[in-house]
Amino acid sequence: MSSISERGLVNGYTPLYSPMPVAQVSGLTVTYGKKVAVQNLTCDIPEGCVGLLGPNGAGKTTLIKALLGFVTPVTGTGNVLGHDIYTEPLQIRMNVGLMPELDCHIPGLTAVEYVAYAGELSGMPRSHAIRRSHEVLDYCALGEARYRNLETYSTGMKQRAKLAQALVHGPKLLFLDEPTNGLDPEGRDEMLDLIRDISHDKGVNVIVSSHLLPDIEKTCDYVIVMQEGTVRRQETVAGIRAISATQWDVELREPSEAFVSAVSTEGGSLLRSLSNFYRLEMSADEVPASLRIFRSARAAGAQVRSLRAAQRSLEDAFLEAIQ
Amino acid sequence: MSAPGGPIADLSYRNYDGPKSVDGFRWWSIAKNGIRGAMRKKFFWVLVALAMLPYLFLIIQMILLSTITSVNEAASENMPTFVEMLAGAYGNSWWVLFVALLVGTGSIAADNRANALQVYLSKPITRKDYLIGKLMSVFVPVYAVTLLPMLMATSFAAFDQGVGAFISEHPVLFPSIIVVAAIPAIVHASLLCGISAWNKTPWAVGVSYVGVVFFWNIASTILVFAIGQDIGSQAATTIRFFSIDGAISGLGYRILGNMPRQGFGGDRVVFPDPVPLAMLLAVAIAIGILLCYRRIRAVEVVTG
Repeated sequence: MSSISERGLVNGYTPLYSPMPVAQVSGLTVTYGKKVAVQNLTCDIPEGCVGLLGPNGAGKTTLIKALLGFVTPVTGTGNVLGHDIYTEPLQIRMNVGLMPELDCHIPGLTAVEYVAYAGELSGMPRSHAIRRSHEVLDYCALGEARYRNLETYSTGMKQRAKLAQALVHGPKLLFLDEPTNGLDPEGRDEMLDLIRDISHDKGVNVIVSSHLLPDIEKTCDYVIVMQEGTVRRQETVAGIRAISATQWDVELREPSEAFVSAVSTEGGSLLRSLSNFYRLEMSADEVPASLRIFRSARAAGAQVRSLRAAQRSLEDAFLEAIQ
Repeated sequence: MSAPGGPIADLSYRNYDGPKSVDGFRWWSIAKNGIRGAMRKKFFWVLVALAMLPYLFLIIQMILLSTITSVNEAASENMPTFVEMLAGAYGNSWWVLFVALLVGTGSIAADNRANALQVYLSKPITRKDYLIGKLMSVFVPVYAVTLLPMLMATSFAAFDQGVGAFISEHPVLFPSIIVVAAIPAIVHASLLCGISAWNKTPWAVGVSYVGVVFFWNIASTILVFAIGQDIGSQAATTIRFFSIDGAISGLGYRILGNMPRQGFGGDRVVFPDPVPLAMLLAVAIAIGILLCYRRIRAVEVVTG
């Protein structure tokens, strides 16, 4: 596993990573007939919200299916929440939730019956499952429509119902396969907010499989980039977006020529600037670059409003990873 | 997320720490859901009422016969016995097939259409649990619809005749009924689930199943006319019963120990040979279960 970037701050908070992964695979190969879907894949999936990112056919869904015991790998080992994927699939499925990619539901049921039934199938007593079904549907904003038959639901509502059935038994790990499929922009934002809330405020580990970079960027702290059945890169979102260890983005209160001059005396150079935003290249030095930048600002009498490692878009980082 | 001024505790979502178990009869949840679904349909109760009609007629027939024999004792010699009438009602219970069609055609086909297998198999249940659950969701209603009217009619006869006398005259009738009623239930459940597993529309399952049952019935009837009695009366009777529907009736008659006579005073019919009929039904059940089990997967499996 790649080391976690010590510089990375995402959306204003520091992601917490435990050294204990929620899932591990080693040398995993999965084939469908002659087609190799996942090839000799080794990775550790850390706690928190993790994105499985890759183009269609990269092997993301197959990896999830292998972790859940839906497909039997040809070679390799793996475990989810400490349970072996070959010998303890039922224990795994009791402790995880899956929101499948396909539109799926159990026909003939209302939402509350569907979610309660999912709870029963997960091993909950019926009375607990029914009570929990109401709670989870409320949380997924389907409280008002809970007594409607699922077949009358819109796509967005069906996606929420899928999420509710995955959450009903209180999973420790949630697999979300393309969770924003078929949603309009508003529905998509709401779904991403829900995912973010579940993973960051409710303490549920989440693995989001998606080919949509903005979805991963908005919800995940850690990303595993896959292509052609292999892991191309795995790192924190901040780490993968970092351009290099020597470039920094600085925002001053107002533009300052004196600041640029002061930076050059500290071994730095200006790469580009826009108004009061500056991207600097700092040479290697015993003194940390951040300290030298603050020293330059003080010398120039400029007020630093923000300072962070220079970042690129996740799209650029993704394209570089899969090339 | 608690709103300002709202409760301090976050009531929107809490982790579930209550009891959970993967032990025991996990398939029972699936069976219960199927049975509940069937009982929710009004048409199911209409069919249940229709399935009870032959047994209600049987009770009326018994009342009439007991009136006739009380007036003319000599007439009782030509009267059908209770078990013959029970066998007749059992053999004419077409409505049971319709109950089976109502509860069985959509059992897996509707799940296929709604991609429900991914939901089921993402839970801690196995393919075997799903299969048994689906079979039981068809078996239980069909069994109940067959068994309960038979028990009702037999209990009426027992009370009418006197329980002690009835049981000494028919010592194994009640256990036989329990076994006999299971035959149509297990055959219809396995075959319907097997066909249903390979379809996405319940009506296609219904048409296929009814087609198989009727076509086979007609074929066996034509065959027995073609080869006639040249092969011996028991062999001809066995061929006449050598269809899904016929084997269910024929084996049932054999277990009950009586066959319905053709009208009052008609000749007693020769029993069919139970071995080929039992083998036919066993093969049908095995094929149904195998078809079903081959199809139950959370993912499409590509081979070759």
